[in-house]
Amino acid sequence: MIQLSQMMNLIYNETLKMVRKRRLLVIGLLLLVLLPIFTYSQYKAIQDSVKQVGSSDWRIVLQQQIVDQQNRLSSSRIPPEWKGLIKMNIAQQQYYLDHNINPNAPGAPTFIRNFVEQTITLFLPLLIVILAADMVSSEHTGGTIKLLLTRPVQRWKILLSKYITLILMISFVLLTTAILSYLISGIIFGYRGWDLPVITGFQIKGNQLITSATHLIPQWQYIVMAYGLAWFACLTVGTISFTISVLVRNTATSMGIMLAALITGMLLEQVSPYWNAIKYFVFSNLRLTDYLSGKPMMTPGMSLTFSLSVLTIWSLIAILIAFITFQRRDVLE
Amino acid sequence: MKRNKHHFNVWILILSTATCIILIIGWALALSDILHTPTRQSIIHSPTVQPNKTQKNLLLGLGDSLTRGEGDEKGQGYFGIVKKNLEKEKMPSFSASNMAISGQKSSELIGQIQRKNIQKIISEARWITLTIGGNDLKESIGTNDKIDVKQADQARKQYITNLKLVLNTIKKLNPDVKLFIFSLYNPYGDLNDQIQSNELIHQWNEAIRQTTVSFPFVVMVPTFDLFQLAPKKYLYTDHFHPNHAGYQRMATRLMQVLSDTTLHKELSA
Repeated sequence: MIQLSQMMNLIYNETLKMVRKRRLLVIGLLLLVLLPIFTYSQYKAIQDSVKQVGSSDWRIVLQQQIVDQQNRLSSSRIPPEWKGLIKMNIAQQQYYLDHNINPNAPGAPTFIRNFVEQTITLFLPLLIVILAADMVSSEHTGGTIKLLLTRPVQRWKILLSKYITLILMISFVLLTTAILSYLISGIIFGYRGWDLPVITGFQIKGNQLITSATHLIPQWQYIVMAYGLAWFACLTVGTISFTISVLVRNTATSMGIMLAALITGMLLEQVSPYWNAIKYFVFSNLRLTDYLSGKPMMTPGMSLTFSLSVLTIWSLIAILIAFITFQRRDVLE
Repeated sequence: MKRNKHHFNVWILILSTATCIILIIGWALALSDILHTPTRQSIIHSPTVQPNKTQKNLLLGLGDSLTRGEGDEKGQGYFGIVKKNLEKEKMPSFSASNMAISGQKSSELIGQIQRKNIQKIISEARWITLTIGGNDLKESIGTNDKIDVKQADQARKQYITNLKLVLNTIKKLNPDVKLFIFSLYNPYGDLNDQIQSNELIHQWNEAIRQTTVSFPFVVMVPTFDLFQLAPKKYLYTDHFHPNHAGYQRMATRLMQVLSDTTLHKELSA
């Protein structure tokens, strides 16, 4: 019981530091600046496609997208792997069309859903890096590490309290993201659409889109699931960033390493999507929401189980390294 | 002040914990949704599509790469040019939608217009422009130097059957529509076999004419003469598709007939 309240105190203490360092404020401001831009760009994209197609009926717009892709298929310049992707994309859009369900019905909830799907690989991880990159290293920079470690509390408990705080703050950031994107995008798109139907359960076997297991769920449920997956991806990013902040004593270096790693992960995916080995790299597996929406994967052999395993293994190794290093560290140097 | 700050932190902690629990539940739900796919059949029912007559002035393009506009350096094609012309007329709720697919043959067009959504769009259209048959013909003569007359005959018969089916389907979906079909031209008119290839094209065009005669809503727009004397001037470098000048000619011809229907509408209204 005493142990628990001691832990609670430590976590409270860490939260206090986080608030005092204004990290949450920075993240909030970043979102406040970027969300209107995202909202506007999405609005513009919709307007453009309506203007180009010449109809505001989503069925015609979607049909036009299908036909455009079918035309791309007939081009001989497209590599066969791409053609497989396009075919599956067409099959999925056709499925939406055949069932008279608009995959992009305008509304703030749809924006939230699209936003998390688009930001799960880079933007959300960056926010998490802002949080996690100096959780331990800042104690070195500020010289407070000695005060912290000379307290009569075991070291692993201190690190654990920091880690739990990180998990809680990741959740808080995701909540803030969802709430702010709802409030801001709603100004343009309207605030309704929580119970619109969304199709999930698409499966991909080889180059085929399997629709036998598809089912409808209300959009709010889809959003909860998508954010749950985003949370897991962010948790992995946070954990690795946390370990780096234990290993490196300089906040700037720690952030730099994480940035480089995240961007490398994204670039690798774009530059050499057929290089099979990149699927073992942790940051190539962040696109968890794609498994939910049934978006086909470029690299063969990737599945939800696979990606979750890769993320979990990297996280476990990272957190183990963090604890061992922190436990053994000599503070007095 | 200090009390307020304390409250703020406690609130953040409580909120974060609650969110964390919800997100874990969401994660678990997503996992079970993706991994435990139900064995029962898909529970989604296809709704019946009801024609929606709100779009009064829809121009719909169907067919192959000619309607797509392939070869036009300006990326418009005859469809784009006609669309621009009609936009100038400032008709209420005018819209245009190009559903043509490059390389499409008549048999594939049948498949496309079986799609529910395409049928819905057809039912809403006021004008349909169609180019079909070029790929059927091209495939039937193959890459051999010599034209296999028997094979081309067979392909033509099949093509006419398909065309009838297409026109019947469209008529059933939308009895009020006006359909404009371009007949074929000869992109090889300046090559060795020109007499034979011209004869072949004429056979196909004659077959198209005979077919369309029994469909009063169909207007056949000839193109053969447009490319007859100076094919190089009006063809793209692939020596198959028209270039912008060629499409411009096709568009001019189409507009001559199509503008009759826009005038008529205004007079009766």
